[in-house]
Amino acid sequence: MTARVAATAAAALALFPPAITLPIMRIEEMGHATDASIWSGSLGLLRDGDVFVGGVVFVCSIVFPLLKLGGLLAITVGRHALARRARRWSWRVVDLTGRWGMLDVLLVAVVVAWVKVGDLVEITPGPAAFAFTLVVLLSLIATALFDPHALWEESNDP
Amino acid sequence: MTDEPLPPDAQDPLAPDPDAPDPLAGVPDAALGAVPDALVEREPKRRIGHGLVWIVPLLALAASAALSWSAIEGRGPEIVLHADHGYGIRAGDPVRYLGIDVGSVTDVALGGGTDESAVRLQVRMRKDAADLARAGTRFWIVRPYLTLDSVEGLETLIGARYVALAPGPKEAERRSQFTALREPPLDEELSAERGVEIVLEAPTRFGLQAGARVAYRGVFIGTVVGVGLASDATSVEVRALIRPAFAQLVRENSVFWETGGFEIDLSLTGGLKVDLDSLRSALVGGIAVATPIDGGPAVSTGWRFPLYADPKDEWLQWAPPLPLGNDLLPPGAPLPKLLRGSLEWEQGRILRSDGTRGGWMLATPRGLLAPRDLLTVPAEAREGVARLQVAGRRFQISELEAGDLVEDLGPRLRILRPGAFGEAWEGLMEPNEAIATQPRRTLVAPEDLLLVRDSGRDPIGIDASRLRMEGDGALVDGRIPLSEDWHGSLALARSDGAVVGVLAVPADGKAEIVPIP
Repeated sequence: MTARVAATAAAALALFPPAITLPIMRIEEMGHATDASIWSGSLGLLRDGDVFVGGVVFVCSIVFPLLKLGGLLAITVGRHALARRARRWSWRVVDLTGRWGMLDVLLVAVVVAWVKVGDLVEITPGPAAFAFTLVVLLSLIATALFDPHALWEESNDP
Repeated sequence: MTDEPLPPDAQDPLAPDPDAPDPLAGVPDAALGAVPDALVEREPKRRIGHGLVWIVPLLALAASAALSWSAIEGRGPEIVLHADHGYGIRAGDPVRYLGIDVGSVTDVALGGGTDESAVRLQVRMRKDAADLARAGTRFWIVRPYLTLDSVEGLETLIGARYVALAPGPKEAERRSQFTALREPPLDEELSAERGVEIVLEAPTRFGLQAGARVAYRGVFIGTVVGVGLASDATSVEVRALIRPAFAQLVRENSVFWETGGFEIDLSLTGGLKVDLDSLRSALVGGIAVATPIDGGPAVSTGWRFPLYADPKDEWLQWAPPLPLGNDLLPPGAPLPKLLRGSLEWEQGRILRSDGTRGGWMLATPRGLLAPRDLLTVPAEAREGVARLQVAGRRFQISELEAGDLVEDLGPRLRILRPGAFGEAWEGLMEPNEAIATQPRRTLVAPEDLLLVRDSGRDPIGIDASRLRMEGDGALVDGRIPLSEDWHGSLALARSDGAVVGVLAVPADGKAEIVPIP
């Protein structure tokens, strides 16, 4: 069980860099084309002075999902190496960030834009769309497979 | 939904108390081990497939690497454009060539560092168009451009601005720094075949602007590409680009005058007379050119002419036959080098006078080919004596005939055998080896011809409509001024470069293309 969680979390982590740095969609409006990636989008919001929205997007779509996946990996793979306290701490990180990491919401936003705004501007999915969808899926699977009780039991294994 | 709200102090019994301390905090790890184990039935562990699951992250890693690699690999080179003005260009606007996107602007900033008077554009070229950014390539920002005589860049009024480019020479090497043009270049400047650029010197500007047309008999043959003062400010220099197909029209003796604007002449007897060349020339000015019959050789780029305000009446009457077209002959077609020969004799019984006849002769493997009258003693010559001068030698025609060195070639041509020149013949033949192997044919129907006398320098073009087939030759329209200077010149077909005959211009008769048997 834990191996499966670790594998899916690792897979999601591996796909994470291209998913957020490569353009996720290309918006073309009367000949003016913009490539938008999650990284450049949230940084752009921050740079334009929209600190609150930019910060929320940055934390919820980049920092928390990364922490959650990293935490899952740490708990499942490094469970024997980690001190009990560190494990407990990483479990808390997973618990908290899992609730606030909103990759799936972002995916829905992209899809909605793609489907609904198509009449006004031309939106084509970029190379990151594929990677991003996979990250969302793998992350969901990892969370679903993750069973804290099993962790509890294992830690009591002699 | 619950009907009655919970009392304010009531807590959801299932929710963890946020203020409650971590039940495990402070408990030593060793103490935790003392907690008794819960008894749980455990499923038997499935060991099969345990290792297989690690294929998933490996695949993900491979996909991630492939995506990143293709993103980096698929990017073309980045170039920097310096422009005087941004004209509202933004990051994301395309770079277009021939109406197709070949890159995009990635960043727009003030000219970098200290230079605030310029705009710096970063452009990412598409990978398959990377070669377009090479030395000699010109870039400019397309914006709506409205002048009295043209409308350009209208699509950028509503849509995005874009950067257009005109690539430099093909073999030039790539560059990454460019300076954008201030104005879009004229179509003529973009053309791969640049034609001939000449300079016209005028006392004043005459209202001429870049874009004004140069016309020959009212037909557009070139464009003014620049107007400016000469470096010493004594005159105005007008640079004009003559399209390559019409380059033969401009000769050293050509004259240019200005035709722009319009003139209104109101007189009591003549009434109102308005002279207007075209609306365009009234707006940006215009230039006319005429070439005399003895126009001289065609000019090359950089040739200077004076620009007159008005034409002389005689200029308008000039009508020299000049060959038009980008290529006078098919590419690679050889041109002959003809020799000038002249026949002299004495004539008259009581009052003696000298008679002369000049013409061109062509060295062929069989001998020196010439119209018959250049190698025959004229009937009026005294005592049957006539001397031929050719290639620095003198011959007595009667001696040549006696020595069997002259041979008839059909009724209107004769050949002087190589034996007459001895050792020197090789030298005469050498420049014409190529033309000797050129296919020869006879005219069966009128076609466009080129008359050549001296290595193709200022040849004459004869349009098919000026020829009339008669017998085995073709008569040339008498309106084409072919003087005796052209006697013996060689006629080449412009379609395939084949030799089709020799031009004979009799002293009294009509010019005729005589086939070579």
